[in-house]
Amino acid sequence: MELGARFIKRNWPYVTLGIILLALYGIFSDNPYILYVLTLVMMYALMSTGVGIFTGWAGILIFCPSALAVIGAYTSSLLVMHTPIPFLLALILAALASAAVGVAISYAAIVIRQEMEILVVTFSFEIVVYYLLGNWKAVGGFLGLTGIPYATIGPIMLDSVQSLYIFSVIVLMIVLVLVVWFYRSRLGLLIRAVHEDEGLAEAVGHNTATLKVIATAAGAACCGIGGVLYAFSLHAVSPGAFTLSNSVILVLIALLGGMAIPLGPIVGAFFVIGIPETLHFLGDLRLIIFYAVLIVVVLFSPRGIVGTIWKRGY
Amino acid sequence: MPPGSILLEQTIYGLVLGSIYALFATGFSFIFGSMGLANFAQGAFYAVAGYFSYIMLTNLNWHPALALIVPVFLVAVIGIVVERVLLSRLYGRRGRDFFFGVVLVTFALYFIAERALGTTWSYWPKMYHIPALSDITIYLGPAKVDLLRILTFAIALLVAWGLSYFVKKTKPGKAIRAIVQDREAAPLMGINVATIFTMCFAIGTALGALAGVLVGPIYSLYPEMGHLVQFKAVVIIIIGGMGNIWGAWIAAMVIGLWENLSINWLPPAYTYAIEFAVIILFFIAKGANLPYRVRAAIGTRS
Repeated sequence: MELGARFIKRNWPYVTLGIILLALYGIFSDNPYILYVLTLVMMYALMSTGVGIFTGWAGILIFCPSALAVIGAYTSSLLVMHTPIPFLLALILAALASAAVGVAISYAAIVIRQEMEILVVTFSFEIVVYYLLGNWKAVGGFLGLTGIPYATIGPIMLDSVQSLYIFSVIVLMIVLVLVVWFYRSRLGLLIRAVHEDEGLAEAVGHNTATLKVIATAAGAACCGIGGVLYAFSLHAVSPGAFTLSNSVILVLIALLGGMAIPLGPIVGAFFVIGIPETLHFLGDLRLIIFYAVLIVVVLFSPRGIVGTIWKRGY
Repeated sequence: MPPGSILLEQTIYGLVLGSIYALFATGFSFIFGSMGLANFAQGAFYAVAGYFSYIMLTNLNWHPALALIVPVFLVAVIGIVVERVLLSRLYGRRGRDFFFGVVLVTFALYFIAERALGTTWSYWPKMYHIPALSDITIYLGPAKVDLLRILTFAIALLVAWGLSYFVKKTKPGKAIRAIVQDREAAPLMGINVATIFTMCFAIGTALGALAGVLVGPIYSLYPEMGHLVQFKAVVIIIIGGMGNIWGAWIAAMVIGLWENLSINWLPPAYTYAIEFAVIILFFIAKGANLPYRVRAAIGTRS
């Protein structure tokens, strides 16, 4: 009982999030559109959490989460479609594939060092991945992979909006638990130290390069998992599924919600993806108004939404 | 190998494309060099100016000279308003806070502009001509070039030269250099930093607008036109050296030449893929200090 009370007191935001997500399901379980939007929010939340880890915690401006997500999506889809590997294993392998690419990117980032140059290189990487996949006939070229089968976990088949929603919630919660545990661990602390003062961290004797690589790998894995969810929700994935504009939006989400806090990007995703959807009645104006509001928010709260409320972690 | 006349013509056209990039990038570089502000809304000013020009030429039937010049001033005024009202609020922030704030705000402005343009004038590209300029053709050897293209190249050259002169030899230019050298001491010397910043931003956006007005009749207008150009401009100023006006000009010309020449003889997908792969390799090589390593490996004395 003691432990339980302490657990909830320490983790109440995350527990609340889980309860809210389940409650939303209960309320809207017969409204596929809202469930679809919420699932989309969770996908973006996952990917932005990845962005938060390498850009917020470690401070490396890696602007290609889309490419990492696409890699995860393609890997998992190809594995499930052409090999007897079960879905869950494919998910993990896809996360590892994205992480591997993330490691390569982090090495490039370490060599390049300058922020603006890393930004340019990662944007370029996005474009290169787009054209590479587009010209690769074996994986469908620009039309991509279609007819991705339903994800099956044992006897359960994720073939409805409801089941996908619940699965997304579970995945998000698991990833969130891992991220929070990572955040509170010594490794997480060191990674954030790299961002705060890299020179000092190095001077004290920590290998900042290794820390950056670990952070990028972890973040890339999150992006990859988001991509997998996308592929198995829409049952099709193409190079254009996630591109530069999506990367910008993902970074926006992480920035808006609070980059260095685990909960930040998730809240950000709710705002950036959820709110425009509810503003449909405004028609074409909704995105313009949304971005205008975004400007106002940025001008008055530099630490992101969650960051300003909790007064830490930008 | 294509006939010499086509090669020459395409080279010239590549220089013209490079001129557009140069104007855009010079504006972006100037703002970044003098204010430390990565103006990701430059593409918005670029596109908006182009559309203003289009409206003036087709709907309002103004004289071409007016349609080319007035939008530049209009957009510069809009730039001044944006700087005073929105961007100046970020000046108190330092380091990462400043950079992220600027990126977010300017990106948001760009999206707003893109959406507004698309909603008002549809997302289909608009092609239009300025008869007075496009119909006059001049023959440079075997190549046929129209007056507008030559004008564009000349303007880009003049701007690069003029801006260099402005920064090096005039009083406001001196003020800018002072601010860049020592942000805190400059006001102590009597320099009004806020006014200088507004001026710099106005000049930068005016150049972006100039690029926009010129690109419309030569290529076409569409709401997302600022997007890719903006990205290339970032690459250009990094390769050319941040704040280095002629460096940016040369880099812009190189990219313009490459794009124009390769599109004629390579599938378009390869053009961009190669371009960006080269960019990636260039920066990795730069970071790894490749020239030094190669020389050291060969054994020549450094």
